Amino acid sequence: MEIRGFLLRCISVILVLLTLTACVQVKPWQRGNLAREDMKWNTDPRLSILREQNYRSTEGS
Amino acid sequence: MLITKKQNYLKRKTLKKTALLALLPLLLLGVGESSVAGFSEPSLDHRIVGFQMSAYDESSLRASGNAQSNDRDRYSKNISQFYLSLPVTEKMIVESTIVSESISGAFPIYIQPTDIRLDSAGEPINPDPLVVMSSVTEEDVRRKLSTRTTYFHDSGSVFGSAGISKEDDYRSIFAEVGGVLHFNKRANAIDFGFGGSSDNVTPLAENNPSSAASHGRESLSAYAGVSQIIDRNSTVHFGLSFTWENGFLSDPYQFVGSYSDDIFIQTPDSRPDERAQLVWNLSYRLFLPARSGALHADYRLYQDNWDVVSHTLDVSWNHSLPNNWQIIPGLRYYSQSEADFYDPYFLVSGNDGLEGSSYSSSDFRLSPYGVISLRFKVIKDIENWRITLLAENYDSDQDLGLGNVKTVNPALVDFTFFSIGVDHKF
Repeated sequence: MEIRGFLLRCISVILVLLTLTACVQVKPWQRGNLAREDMKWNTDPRLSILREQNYRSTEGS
Repeated sequence: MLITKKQNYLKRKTLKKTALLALLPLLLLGVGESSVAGFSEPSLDHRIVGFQMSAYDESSLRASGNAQSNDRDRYSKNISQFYLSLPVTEKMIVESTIVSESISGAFPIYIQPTDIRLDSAGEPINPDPLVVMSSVTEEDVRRKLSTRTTYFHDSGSVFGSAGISKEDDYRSIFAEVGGVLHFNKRANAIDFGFGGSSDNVTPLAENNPSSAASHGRESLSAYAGVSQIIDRNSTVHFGLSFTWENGFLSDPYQFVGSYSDDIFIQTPDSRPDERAQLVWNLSYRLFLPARSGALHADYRLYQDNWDVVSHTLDVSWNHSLPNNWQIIPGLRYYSQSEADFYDPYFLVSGNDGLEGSSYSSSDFRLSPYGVISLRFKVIKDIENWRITLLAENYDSDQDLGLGNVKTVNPALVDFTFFSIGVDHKF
C-alpha cells in the first residue's frame, strides 16, 4: 500500500510538472474564455457544499 | 507603398488600442477571478440574495439485502438554505449563510451473520451478513449559521470565515482564514488556508441507552494549491491539504457484532482517537469555443492513517445554450479501501476483533466499495434572476470498488438528491 501511495504521489507531481512546463504565455487580453463563469474552479460553491455534505455522510474519506 | 505601410501600422495600433479598451473592465476586475484566481472567490459587482430548497433521500434497504428491523426506511433530509452576499466597501464583501435541515429515518446499528449459530469448525452456519437497524426513527433538526468576509487587494484576496452548527446531539464551531495570491502577470495563483473546528457529541439516550456521555473532538486543517494557465482555453490547478482530527471519533450509535465463547454479542464501535488525512487534488478546465461549453475534470486522492485510501474522479460538461440556458451533466466515480480495524463482524470478541488492534468498527463507511453518481443540472438566467435545478442519483456497490471485497457490507447506501435554487442580483 505504501509503494502504491508513493507511486500515485509521484504520478501526480509529474503530471503537474509536465503541465506547467507545457504552458504557453497567454496575454491578458487573450484570457476572455478563461474568465468565463463556466470556467471557474467551483461554479456553484453553495450547491457544492450541500453535495459534499451528502458524500461525507455516506463515505469514509 | 509607404502610405499603405503607415495605414496598416495605424490600423494595427487602433485595433490593439480598441481591444485593450474593450478588455479594460475585465482587466480592472482582474481577469481570471474565475479559473486563474483560485477557488470560489465572490464577486464585488453586486449584492446577491439566494434561497435554496433540497431533498436528500436514502433508498430503503434492498429487498434482497438482509435486514432485521421494524423499519427498512433510512435517512431523508429536507434542507433549506438562505444566502446573502453584500459588498460592504469597494474591496470587501461579506457573505452569510443560514441552513436548516430536518432529518428523519432509521440507521444501521450493527451487522451479524444471517444465522449466528456456529458449526463444529467454529464458523457461522450462514455467514451472509445481515443489517440490524435501529428500532427508533431519529427525528432531528440541524441549524447552521456561517459568515465569510473577503478583502480584495491588487495581488489577490484574503478571507476569514466562521460558523456554528447545532443538532440535538451535536454541536460544532469552526473557523478558517485563507487567501489567493496572483503572480507571474496573473498567469499563476496560489491559494492557501488554515482552519479548525471544535465539536461536541452528546448521544441521545433513546438511541444509545448505554452511553449518554458527552464527547469532544477537534480538527485542524491546512491547504495550499497552485493554478496555472496552460493556454487561452485551458487551465490546471494542483492542491494539497492535510487534516488532523483528535478526540472521540467513534460512532456512538453503532456497535460491533462478535463472538465470545460461541455467543454472539455486541460491543460499542471503537476507533482510534487520532486521524491524519492527506488529500491531493488535480483539476482541469477546458473551454471548447466550437462546442459552446467547458469541460471540468477533477481528480482527488485521499489517504489516512486508518489505512483508508480513496480515489474520486468527477467530470462534468458545462454547456451554454441560447436564451441564457445552461445544462450541466456530470459523472462522479468514487472508490475506497477499508479501514484497518474494519470487519462486518468479528469471529473473536469485541475489542480483540483484530490481532494487534484494540479498535473495531463495522461501519459501512469504513468498508471497501465503489460509487457511481450521475447528476444533471439546469441553469436559467432571467435578467437579474437565476434559477438552478439539480438532480443526482448515487449508487454504491462493492463491485464498483477498485479492490477486492471479502465480505460485502449490506448497509451500503444509495440515495437521490434534488435541489432548486433562486438567486437575485441587485
